[in-house]
Amino acid sequence: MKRWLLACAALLGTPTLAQDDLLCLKDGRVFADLSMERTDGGVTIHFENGDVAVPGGLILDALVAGSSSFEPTNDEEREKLAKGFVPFDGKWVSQKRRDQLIAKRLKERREAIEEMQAHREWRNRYREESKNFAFEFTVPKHIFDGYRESMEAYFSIFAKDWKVKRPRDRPKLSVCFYGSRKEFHRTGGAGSYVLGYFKFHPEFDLNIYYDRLDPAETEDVMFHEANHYLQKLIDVDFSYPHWPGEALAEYYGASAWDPDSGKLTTGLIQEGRLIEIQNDIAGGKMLGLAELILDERAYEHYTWGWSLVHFLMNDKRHAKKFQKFFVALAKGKDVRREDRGMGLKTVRGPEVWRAFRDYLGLRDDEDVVELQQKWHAYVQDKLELTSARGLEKAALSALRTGRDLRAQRLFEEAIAAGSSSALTYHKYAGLLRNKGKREAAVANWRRAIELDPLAGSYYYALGRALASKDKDESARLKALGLEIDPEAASEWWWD
Amino acid sequence: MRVSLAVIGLVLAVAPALATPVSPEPARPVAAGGPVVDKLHKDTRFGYQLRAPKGWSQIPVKADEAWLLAKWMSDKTYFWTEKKGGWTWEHRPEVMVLGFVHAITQAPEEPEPDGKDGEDGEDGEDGEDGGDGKDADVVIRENPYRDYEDYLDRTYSGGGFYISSRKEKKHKGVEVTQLEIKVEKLATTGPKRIITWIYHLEDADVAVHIEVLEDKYSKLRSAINSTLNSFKTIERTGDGLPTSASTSSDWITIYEMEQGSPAERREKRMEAVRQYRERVVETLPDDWTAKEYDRVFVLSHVDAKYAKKLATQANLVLDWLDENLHFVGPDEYVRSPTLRICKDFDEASSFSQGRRGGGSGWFLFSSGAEIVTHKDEDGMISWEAGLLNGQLFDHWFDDRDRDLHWALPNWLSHGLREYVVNLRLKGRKLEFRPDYWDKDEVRELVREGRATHPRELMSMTSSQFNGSGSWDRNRESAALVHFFLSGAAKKNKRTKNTLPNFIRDLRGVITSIEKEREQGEDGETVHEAPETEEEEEAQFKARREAWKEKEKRILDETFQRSFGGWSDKDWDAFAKVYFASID
Repeated sequence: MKRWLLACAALLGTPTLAQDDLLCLKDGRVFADLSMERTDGGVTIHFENGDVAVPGGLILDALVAGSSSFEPTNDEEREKLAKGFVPFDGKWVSQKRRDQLIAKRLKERREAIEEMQAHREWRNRYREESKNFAFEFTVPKHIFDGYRESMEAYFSIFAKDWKVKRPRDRPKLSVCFYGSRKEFHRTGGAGSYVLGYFKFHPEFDLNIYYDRLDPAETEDVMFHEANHYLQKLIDVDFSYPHWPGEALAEYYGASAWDPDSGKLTTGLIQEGRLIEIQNDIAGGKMLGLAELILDERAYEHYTWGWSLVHFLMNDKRHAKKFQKFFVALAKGKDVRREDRGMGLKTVRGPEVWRAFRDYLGLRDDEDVVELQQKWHAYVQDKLELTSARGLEKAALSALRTGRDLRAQRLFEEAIAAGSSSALTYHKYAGLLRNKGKREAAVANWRRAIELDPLAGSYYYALGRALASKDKDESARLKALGLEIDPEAASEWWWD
Repeated sequence: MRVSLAVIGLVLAVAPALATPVSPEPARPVAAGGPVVDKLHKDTRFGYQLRAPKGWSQIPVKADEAWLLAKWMSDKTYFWTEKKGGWTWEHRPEVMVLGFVHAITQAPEEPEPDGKDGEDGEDGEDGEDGGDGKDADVVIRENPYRDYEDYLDRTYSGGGFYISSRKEKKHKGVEVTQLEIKVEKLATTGPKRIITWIYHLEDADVAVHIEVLEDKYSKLRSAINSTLNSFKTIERTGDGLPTSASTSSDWITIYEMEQGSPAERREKRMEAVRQYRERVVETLPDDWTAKEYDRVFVLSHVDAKYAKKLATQANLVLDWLDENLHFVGPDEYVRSPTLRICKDFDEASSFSQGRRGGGSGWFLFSSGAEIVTHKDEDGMISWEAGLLNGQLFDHWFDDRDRDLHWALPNWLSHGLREYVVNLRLKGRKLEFRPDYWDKDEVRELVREGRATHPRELMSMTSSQFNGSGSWDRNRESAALVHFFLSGAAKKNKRTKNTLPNFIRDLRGVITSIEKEREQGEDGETVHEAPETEEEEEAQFKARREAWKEKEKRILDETFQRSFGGWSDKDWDAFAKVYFASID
């Protein structure tokens, strides 16, 4: 990663030879066949419908044609220039040598960018193995590297905590990491509502994608799906019931990797799931223990089920018992397992409930009620949204459920908490516009564009907002949006 | 698998206009001849000809199809066996020809709703929008496919795919993009290869897509190449190229069919049937037949004997429904359904692929009351023949009284449908053939004392019914409805009319609620815009509960009307007789 940044910085400060312009962003997007110009701290792209300034902080690399002339500023420089020398990389070299060096570097970097572009297609995907995983991926390598490291750290922590290891007769887990949601659905074959999946038959195969707008969500999904694999390592012939299988995967899904310290923190708050629980509570729904556990396929296993695991894992009185219960489902002699097909065993709902009560020491209904009350209290009193991201998710959820006042407050809180998500400003702008607050909406769209100046849908939305104020500017912005992203007008389709 | 509720909740089904057909007259003579093999296919509208692989049968194209021009399927089945799991899958190779007219695919993006429901209005005095700048309406549009790849992205269901090779060539003077596509991840029926040549005509792209099992590709390569190389442009005659991707705009819609008086609705439905039959017959391949059997119009690719048997069963089922549920929408006209009988499962599946809206259940909402089925070796006792009955039941009930159909409590909806599913043709009559597996399961529940008391079963809401253990409740519902229709209940003076009365009472409750709604007395609060978050939360809670409350109200009031006079003792006596009947 550092190499790329240095190369970029060098280029931005160095005269270049005329070439086709090329801009590569840190989030993996590449813009080519466009006229570009270097500006202070960044690059300006000249689209047909207007200029877009891209700050240097977003840029991974840029190949921008420019002047190769050198203007001396003092006598020494004039003398050197008279002798045919120009400065380059802190040295005086002949103009011919400088042009050769620049051409060589440009060629190398163009090839590197082109190679990266070529690898975006699945047929040209990268393949790389780490200690425990065999990766295939189309995300840019500089993005992939961080995920690979966090996956290995994740494996180590889980393996230590749950005393599991990769069976010798099994290959490394195949991990397919797609560069975009669209590619994940196309090549991964998953349904439109699936965010990632782990296939356990006949071979293990994990599939996830990189979401440039929400890399943290990418990490959550990766940890969640990887956890299904790790659960398999407890007993490869056992298929965990939906609860607690999905709930534990959600628990470990909320992990955070710090690349600087190399530390992985597990069991954080699943803020998206917590918001869904809060919506349920607001709607008058409090799920009971038996109701949750006896149901063999409830969606609530991801939400309430996660909160139950979070509660148990964070309570010293229950954590070890819960872990024992979890392992016993696969291995315990006192648990009745049934065939689930494909040579796998599982445990049905009533038996999960019985085992849960036994292992947690719930002797009678009173004990069940007591634990349930403690769990509900934990959900209501202890679990809180803490980060700007959590507030953003809560705002989006409120927006989707028609609670505009709540959404507005949460958007403002997210922004006050330091949100730097362009998507948040974009969505907030949409809400404000719907409330008739156009000026505020326009300001938020402009902020979204500042944060992500190459998202066509933001220009398109801004153009719509200005339709009655300035028809020409409105038309220009909408056209610019479509020029940047031909699907800019269809955002609603996926959103 | 990690899923997002947010996404699930927001996926909108992009529905074509609700439409439907009907027509009383036999429309098309029975065609002679066997399967079409190795025949030159000519499309004078798009201006091309193509030779399908030898021995492949042509599959009909749906009447409301906008993109698929022609389709063939291999008569030979190929097999693929998983290496480790040992499962073996069947697959029949297919050719699809798709047309992408530039005037449609390259049309400017359809603008978002303009005027008051789209663009902003003028500012209000405070410098902010005056309120008409809201994105108030949800507009559902049929976006045309941009090109072949977009089509594949949005319709392909055979697994995850990627383009493994792309070449630009020239073929007989036509620019061609040659794609090789591999289907590997989550591949249904095994890994596959798709070879597609996209012929770039001046004003349209014609894509010839051929799909085979990956490990059979080398065997079929020469047949594939032969077909692709047989493509040739020919002179266009007749109608010009389509100018719109929408094929549904001029269909008579379900909505239109449900307006006006019963007589007007009858006329509209009959007209819709005529409209549909005319169009559907035009799209039939030569070796299909079209024939009317009383109330059922049959499009068939099977022997006449089988078609007649299936049509006879369908007619008898409709008659049974008329007779036994005569009190349901008695003044309503039921459209004559079209029965499309494919020669086998693969053909039916291939026909349905890419169908607007998906599987055969969609027929209720699409352009025809068409039921797709296929010949099953088990004949009239097959699962498939039962499925046909189930779809006839849905169709009949919807045309008679859609609101009532949708309001049926789960036990009754499932039980009644299951009863009809189990009616099978024997000789010239229907006989009831119970599902013995389900019967055994219910018997076991009764023996073990785990069976649900009928009063409890009949008063369950959908969430109670569909929660944990719903399989058992489904079986018990079938047993209970069977008891009402055929068991001792029918011979008992007190219970012989219980089921019809319950349905009548349900209709009565729905009518009362509809009247209340018309008069604004239904108790449904019309919420003012909330001014505080507390008010907003309260409204949110009320919205979430509203549907459940309404369902509960319908159930309770119906139950009260039907069984208000029953004591606990009566129920226990009823339960005793009912359980005893499950022998």
